[in-house]
Amino acid sequence: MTGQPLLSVRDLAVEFGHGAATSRPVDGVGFEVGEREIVGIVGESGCGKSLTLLALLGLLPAGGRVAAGSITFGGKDLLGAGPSVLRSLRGRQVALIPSDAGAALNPVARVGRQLRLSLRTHQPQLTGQQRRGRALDALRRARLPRPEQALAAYPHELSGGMQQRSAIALGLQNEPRLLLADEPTTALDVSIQAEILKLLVHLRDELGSAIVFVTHDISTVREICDRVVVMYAGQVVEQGGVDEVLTSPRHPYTAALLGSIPPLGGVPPEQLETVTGMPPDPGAWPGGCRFQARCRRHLSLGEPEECTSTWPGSADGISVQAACHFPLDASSLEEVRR
Amino acid sequence: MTEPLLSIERVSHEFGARRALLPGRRTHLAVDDVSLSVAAGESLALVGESGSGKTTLGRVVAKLLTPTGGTVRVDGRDVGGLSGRELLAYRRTVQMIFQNTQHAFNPRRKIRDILADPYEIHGLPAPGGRDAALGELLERVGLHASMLDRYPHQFSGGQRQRIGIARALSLGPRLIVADEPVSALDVSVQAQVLNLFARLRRELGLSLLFISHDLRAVYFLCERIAVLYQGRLVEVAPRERLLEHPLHPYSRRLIAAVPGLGERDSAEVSAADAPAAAPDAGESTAAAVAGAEPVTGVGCHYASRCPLHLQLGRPERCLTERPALRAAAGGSAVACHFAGDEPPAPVRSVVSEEVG
Repeated sequence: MTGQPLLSVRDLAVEFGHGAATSRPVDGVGFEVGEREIVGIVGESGCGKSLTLLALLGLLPAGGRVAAGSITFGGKDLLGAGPSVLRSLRGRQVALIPSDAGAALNPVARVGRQLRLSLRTHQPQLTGQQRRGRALDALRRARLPRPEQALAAYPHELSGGMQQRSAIALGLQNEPRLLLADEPTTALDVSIQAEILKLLVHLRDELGSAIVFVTHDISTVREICDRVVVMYAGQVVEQGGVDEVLTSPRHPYTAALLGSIPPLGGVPPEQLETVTGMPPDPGAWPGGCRFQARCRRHLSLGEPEECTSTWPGSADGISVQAACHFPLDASSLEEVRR
Repeated sequence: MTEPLLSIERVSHEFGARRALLPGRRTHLAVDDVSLSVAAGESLALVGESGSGKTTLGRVVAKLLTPTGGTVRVDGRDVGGLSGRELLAYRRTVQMIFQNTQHAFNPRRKIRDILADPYEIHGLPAPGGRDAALGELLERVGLHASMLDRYPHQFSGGQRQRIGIARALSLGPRLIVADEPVSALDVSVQAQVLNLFARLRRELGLSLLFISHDLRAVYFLCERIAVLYQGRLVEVAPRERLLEHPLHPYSRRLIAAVPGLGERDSAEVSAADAPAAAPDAGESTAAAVAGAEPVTGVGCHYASRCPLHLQLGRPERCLTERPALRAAAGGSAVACHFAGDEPPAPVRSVVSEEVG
């Protein structure tokens, strides 16, 4: 990455509750997104990846608050920004593509009306004629077949893939600099999923928008992302270039995630590699490394004391590739894989 | 070859068929003349996109739906006319597991009661006492006997799916129909549940009809893969054969769509598909929006999206004659007039030139 990143997140923490009942589902997350870059955030349910995304937009669910850290977008501090500044950014410069498009679209308004409404909100200078043209254009860009018909359709009249394309059109029509995509393909079939992934790459190329792509499926990351951020228990455990992280992961958790993908081709293994046990509870994070209780490397090294006593990452959550006292190298990776 | 455990013979299912006599009613042929068989101990996958009829076919096999045409045989016996005691016996042989674990259980009942149901319904004494049997069931699927007094909401999605598997196993079935049992789960939890299926198959010699759109899961678990498209069986083949030599153009497209296949350069291969795939994909759905029937009864359903059809200069035969399933090399069977055994190398480039 060269020059100033478009988005910079440092030491971000999100808290819920008060006093003894305080939980920190996001705890010291840091990453950067450059112009025109696609960054994947990967992790299991409950690792804090979606909350991180919502915190960026200032849209945390009720009771949630940013307890620490900084978010800078295009040189502007987002956390200190007032509601009016945030409103001017949301939709216009930063747009969200939700995971369940069916639920995100208004069921009682035609797709065209929803697109025009968003244009009127974010770009009031446009005339009605221009808005209609832009809406049609956005649907075309989202590769909806027969966009004129889709404009006049209610969401329930569209298939799941077409609903997702409409939601993407809604996000991209204001040509934002940053698109936040929260599991945009999980509700879809594999063949449609592949098309939506390709569409995201096309949009980056056409509009020059950067994309943050949140998913639990590390194999989709390989398809489209330039860099990847792996989250576990509210923290970033590994980040780096996609090829680097996915071919030679340094954190045992990343290696385990990759090992749990069933291989395609050859003789299937008798058992897939799995991470045993469950992630810890956000209300009671363990000290030291949070993955240690499930970590096979920790076990094979004779349960070294550092793992339970000190957090192996950096304070800002960004300056090391892998937050592990004993990161994997080529030979230990082989061992883990066996 | 010995008689297959399950044989599906020319099964069709049409939704709304009975009401179709009334004016203005439309019917939907969800499964269209499909024949398949599963040997004892074998695992067969049904793959295809939404609307391919894979779930409907699974429900027909589990006898949750009565097909409007064709016959399902288990151990050579037509299961269509079963009732009373014989139907109960059939239900002990074939059990079903569902995708949505949140809705598969009554939220107000404890796991103990949920798992005891099969014994009650079938009037069977549990071997060695009910509690011991239920505890053993839970241990078998990797949970603890101490969890019997919990409610469904106290479990995670992966754990609930294990309970669904335990319930299906309680009567010692020989065939399990699993409808997308892992698609709602996190990738890491998916691996655990897939491992459980693999282990149960080894330990109990279960046959499996595994319905999924995830080729990776299917390849791990099933020896043979059947590809459905809009209610029709387009190809069935041993897993290695299907992956390495897919014959039907639709099978090829399914395989190209698998994310993260091999190295990153495979993304470029499938990217070549994108311009053709994207507009085509919505075509049929868009037609449905407009109220038009996306496919007609004659010819090949896939012709309008088929790169091979295009490459061959849109032969008339694809539009007028329904391709029959025919045997091909390596144990494959394919329903396509023109699919050969040659590698599909030139197909993609032609498509991107003409459409892209």
